[in-house]
Amino acid sequence: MTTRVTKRPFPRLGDALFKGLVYLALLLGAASSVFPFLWMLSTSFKDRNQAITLPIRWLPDPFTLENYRLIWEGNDLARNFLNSVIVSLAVTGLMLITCSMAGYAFAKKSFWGKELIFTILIGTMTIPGFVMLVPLFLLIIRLGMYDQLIGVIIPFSAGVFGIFLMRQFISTIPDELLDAARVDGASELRIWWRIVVPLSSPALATLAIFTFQGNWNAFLWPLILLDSKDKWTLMLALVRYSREYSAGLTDWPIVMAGVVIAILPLFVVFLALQRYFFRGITLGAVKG
Amino acid sequence: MAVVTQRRRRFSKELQKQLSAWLFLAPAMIILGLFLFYPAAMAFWMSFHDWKSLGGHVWIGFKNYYRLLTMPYFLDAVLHTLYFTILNVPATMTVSLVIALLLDTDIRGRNFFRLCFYLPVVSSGAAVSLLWKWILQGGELGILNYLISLVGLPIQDWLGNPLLAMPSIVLVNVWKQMGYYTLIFLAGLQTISPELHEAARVDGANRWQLFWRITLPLLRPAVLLNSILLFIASLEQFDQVYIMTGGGPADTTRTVAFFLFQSWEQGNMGMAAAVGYVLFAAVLVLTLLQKRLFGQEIAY
Repeated sequence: MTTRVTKRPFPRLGDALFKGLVYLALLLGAASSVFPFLWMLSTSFKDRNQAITLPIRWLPDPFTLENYRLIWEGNDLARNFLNSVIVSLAVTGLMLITCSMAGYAFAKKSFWGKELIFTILIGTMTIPGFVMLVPLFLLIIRLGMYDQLIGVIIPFSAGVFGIFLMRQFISTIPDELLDAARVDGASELRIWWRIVVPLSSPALATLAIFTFQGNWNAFLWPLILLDSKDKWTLMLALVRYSREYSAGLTDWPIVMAGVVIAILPLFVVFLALQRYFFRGITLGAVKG
Repeated sequence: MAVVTQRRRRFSKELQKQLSAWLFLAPAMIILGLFLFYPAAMAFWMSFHDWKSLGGHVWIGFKNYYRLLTMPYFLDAVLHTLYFTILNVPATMTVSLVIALLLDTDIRGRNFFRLCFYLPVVSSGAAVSLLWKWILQGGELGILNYLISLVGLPIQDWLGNPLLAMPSIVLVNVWKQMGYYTLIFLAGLQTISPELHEAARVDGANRWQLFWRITLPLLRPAVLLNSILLFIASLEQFDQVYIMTGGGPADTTRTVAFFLFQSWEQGNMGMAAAVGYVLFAAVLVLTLLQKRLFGQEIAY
């Protein structure tokens, strides 16, 4: 990157000024990205009176954890939290298995109709999820999965993006490696499990993160497919409960405590595994 | 004899190869077949029926589509979606491109800035909508109102004013998604060789010319990808509307996706399916149009 800025014979005032402006703009931008989260955090530690007192106070005083206790215990939010964990982990686990298997077939095996099937799969990526809304809803009812966690797990446990990602990555594994294992008499399933899966772990990590994120944050499908309180995922519960707290004046500190609970787990995952997040975007994006 | 057995052996070997491939394809294909291909085809079938959630269904041909296209309530939703798109796409593109260009200079702490811009992207749309509902609150308690009153601007009822509700949702959307599009632009910028800029500079080009003559033309693949993704995302926008305004005030934020959801809620399944296909058609037309416009194929 450093090569991009020219070594001018005479450094000019304009360049220094330009750089200063760049920093200023970036700092302002970053601040506007982060500030709402800080405001959320601050509000979640205030009692109700502070939240509706003018002039606005930036920091909670007194500092209270009462909101967290209220939203967590008052609604059995632990149940909803657990539901979200179950759904996100289950979909992620299944997604890794289905996509790495299919990706392996598309990358390393020849079978009838391969090109055609792959083209059709890629073509489906332009179909908006909303198209499927009604038939999927009716299908889930018919399968007896309505208002069951399995109803928001199974339909999303394979995906075209994942298959594409895995195929691209597995294509880079040398054929000799697989042939050597075949000569040693390893079964196909064993080759997949012992060679293909370990060697494609970077792509699997990226797929895992995106799948987990997508399902942790999912809102529309749980909204449509889950009805009873003890089946709601965290996001659904949060939105529904926030309406209950909105009778009259919304009790924002409690809602903000809920929002913190919903957002924080993913922030932790993100901070710990940033490079997989960032790599995934460029993997799936600009290739041409 | 030998030839026959050999051929038979070759055939059984081929069969085995096919079988083993399909063994690996089966789990994904069964799920996609059942929960992607079947519903997509079924929606098409349903869109030609008067299909209620309770009771039976009757074939009515194109009547759902005809009804939609002559229904002011739906046409309003189309207009609202277009309005959202027209605000959202250029705003997000501009902001993301500017941030990407700033990040692509030789600054310190690029990773830190990138992290900050990406935090809203990983956050749940539902949670973020609740957060912004609080920030955009009307009256003196809303923190945005407080901030703008510091600069001497009049306070607003951001989500309650029919003129401001949609722009406010766009604001939240830009804030949430800009980090994602920034990263795609950044990846595009990093494929541009620094020598090109060097050469142009030696020839006396200024920053403005560098950007318009070199950077932007070479960034075409990223611009195309971002605009396609943004148009699709704009047409499917739902969470923010559902949570922040519920389609109001005075129906000004009721988008096509929200209309589809309402049709489903009212048990009007055939109509909802038809709306889905109208959306799909819009996505297809937009995608093809943009590819044609940019005159370039892109792999993604």
